[in-house]
Amino acid sequence: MAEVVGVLRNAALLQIRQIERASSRLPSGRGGQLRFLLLHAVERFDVLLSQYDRELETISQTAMPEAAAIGLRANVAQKFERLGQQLHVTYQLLNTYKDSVGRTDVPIGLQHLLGVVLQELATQPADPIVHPDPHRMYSTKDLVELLDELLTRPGDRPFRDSYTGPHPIVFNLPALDPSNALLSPVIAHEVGHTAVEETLRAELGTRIDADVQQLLQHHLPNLPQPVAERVRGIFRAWCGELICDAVALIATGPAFALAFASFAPPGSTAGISTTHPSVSDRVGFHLQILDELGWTPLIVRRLPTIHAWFTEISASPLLAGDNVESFLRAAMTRVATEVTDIARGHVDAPLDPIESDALLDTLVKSVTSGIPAVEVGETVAGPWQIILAGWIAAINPDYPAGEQLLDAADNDGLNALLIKSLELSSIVTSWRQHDRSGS
Amino acid sequence: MTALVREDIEARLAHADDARRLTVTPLLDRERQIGPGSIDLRLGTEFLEVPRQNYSHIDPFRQETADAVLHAEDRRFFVALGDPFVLHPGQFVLGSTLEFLVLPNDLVGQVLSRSSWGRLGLLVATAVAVQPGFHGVLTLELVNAGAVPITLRPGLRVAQLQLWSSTEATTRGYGGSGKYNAPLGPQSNRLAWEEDERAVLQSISDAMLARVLPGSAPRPATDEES
Repeated sequence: MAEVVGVLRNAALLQIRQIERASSRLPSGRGGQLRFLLLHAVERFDVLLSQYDRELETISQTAMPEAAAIGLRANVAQKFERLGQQLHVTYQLLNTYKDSVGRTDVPIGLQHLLGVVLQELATQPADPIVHPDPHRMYSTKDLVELLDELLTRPGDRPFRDSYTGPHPIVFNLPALDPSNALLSPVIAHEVGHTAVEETLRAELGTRIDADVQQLLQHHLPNLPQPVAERVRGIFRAWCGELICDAVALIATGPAFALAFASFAPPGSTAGISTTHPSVSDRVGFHLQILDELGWTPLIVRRLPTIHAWFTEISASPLLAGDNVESFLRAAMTRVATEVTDIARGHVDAPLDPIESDALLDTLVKSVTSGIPAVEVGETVAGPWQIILAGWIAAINPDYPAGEQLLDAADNDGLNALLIKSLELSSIVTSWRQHDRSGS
Repeated sequence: MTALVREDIEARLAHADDARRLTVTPLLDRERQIGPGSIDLRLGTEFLEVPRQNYSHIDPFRQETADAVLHAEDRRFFVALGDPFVLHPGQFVLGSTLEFLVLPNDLVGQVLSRSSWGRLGLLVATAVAVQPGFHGVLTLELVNAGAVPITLRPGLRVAQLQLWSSTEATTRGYGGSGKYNAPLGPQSNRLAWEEDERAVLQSISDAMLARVLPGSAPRPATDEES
């Protein structure tokens, strides 16, 4: 047993030093905080290793029956094994993202957009890691939270509390099309999952739990406890999606609804997803929120076929027709207003429909002419105004709405022009801010 | 042709008629960038570098070599406004202007290096012609011909655009097909795409060889020869 423990211990030590060396070699630049996060994790691993070493030493120095010593050593061996698993996951994390730190192939416009999303939605300083991912489409991951789940044991000080630097946030973007400007509002939804979903869902729960319980009793009376818990779990997941949809709609306006509809076209099968409400219900939810935010007149005027199509989709959901579905849909309707209200409280700079409308004629004209949309008079266009102008420029009211959304999202030239527009507008904004500050 | 001076440039930038308006966006510091007879242009954020290794030479007439050297191995990278980018002695990279230009069909332009950079050994543009009707950012050929590395930063004013107007607008202005095809970053070499001229020159070369050596077959181009 002593030999096995020694091998496990040395294997762990070897991997700690490997992670330390590789982390130290990570470049600076965007995502460079990963180095400091991993070196912080290495400190934690070293502490654990020392602690287990001391336990082994105590066993060696304490007089006890051989069987007892073997049992205690086996216990320490398990700890080394667990440490080895943690190291393995950390090593995989490092290996997955090391080439995405300090990338120089990310267009400035896209970098700016990710910065804006984090600034608007993240609750603490963050450092984006842009990772074109061959498997996932759009998703985000806070690596501090990931390591916290991995390393914090019951009774420990949470790992996340001991790390004080900006959180490295991974943006997994579609590997074949990472710079798709028109789909970029989806990123705001994904950042919502990472940054605010947990907090906002808890806030929502305190407001609506009693009503939801009543609805559950109404639609599904006398449900066995485990089944009821499972249904409530589905509803919680749905609420998370609705919250992040609301956050994205408040921050980015109709551009999120357009991106969503082209990214997740209405499905053809009925049935309940345990993670997401149906597309038709979400489209209806989007229309409702956009209406509450004052966007409907603009959408009806500038995108009449899209508005009609969204209305049609949301009015004809594909239903499984069972009681669970009835409950979930009724509960979703019940919480919609609260979801919007809570999300509004979190977004610092909601996109304003009236301000945006005043700029859109000029911005759309620029985009339609193939010229970067940057300024209207003295006003610099914001990123989401530019993206919305791109959508409006791409959609011809004389053609079917759904196909046009897909065609627009797939238009490389248009997306490149929008990314360039985002870059130039960010540069003009920074320049003017510097001028005003007089520094 | 009449050279445009400051007042002409200002008038063209503000022209009410889309067909005669000159667009330069963004103009970060209008007062400083518009000179008595030119517009200063800034270095953009996007660069294109052709690595030196693995290729013996470039022959634009050999399509496959040109494609491999000039395009497949291109390294495109971005540097944020104000961030440093060091150009070493002898190093060549393509950059572009920060400004997106639209020239109406009655204006023609020429891009020149700003002399203050030239005196440091930096070549930015070798009298790049800007055709009437041009849309896009301009590609800049950046070469450090001096003996010491030069730190460049996107946003620096490195070039200047001189403009001339003609009395008549051309009816065949420069421009690719499609409204979203304007260059938005540096463009690599396009010589090899001029297939028709390549074929003409090859044919003339073969005919001349046949006169000297009757009965000879057209010469296949080889790596050694070309």
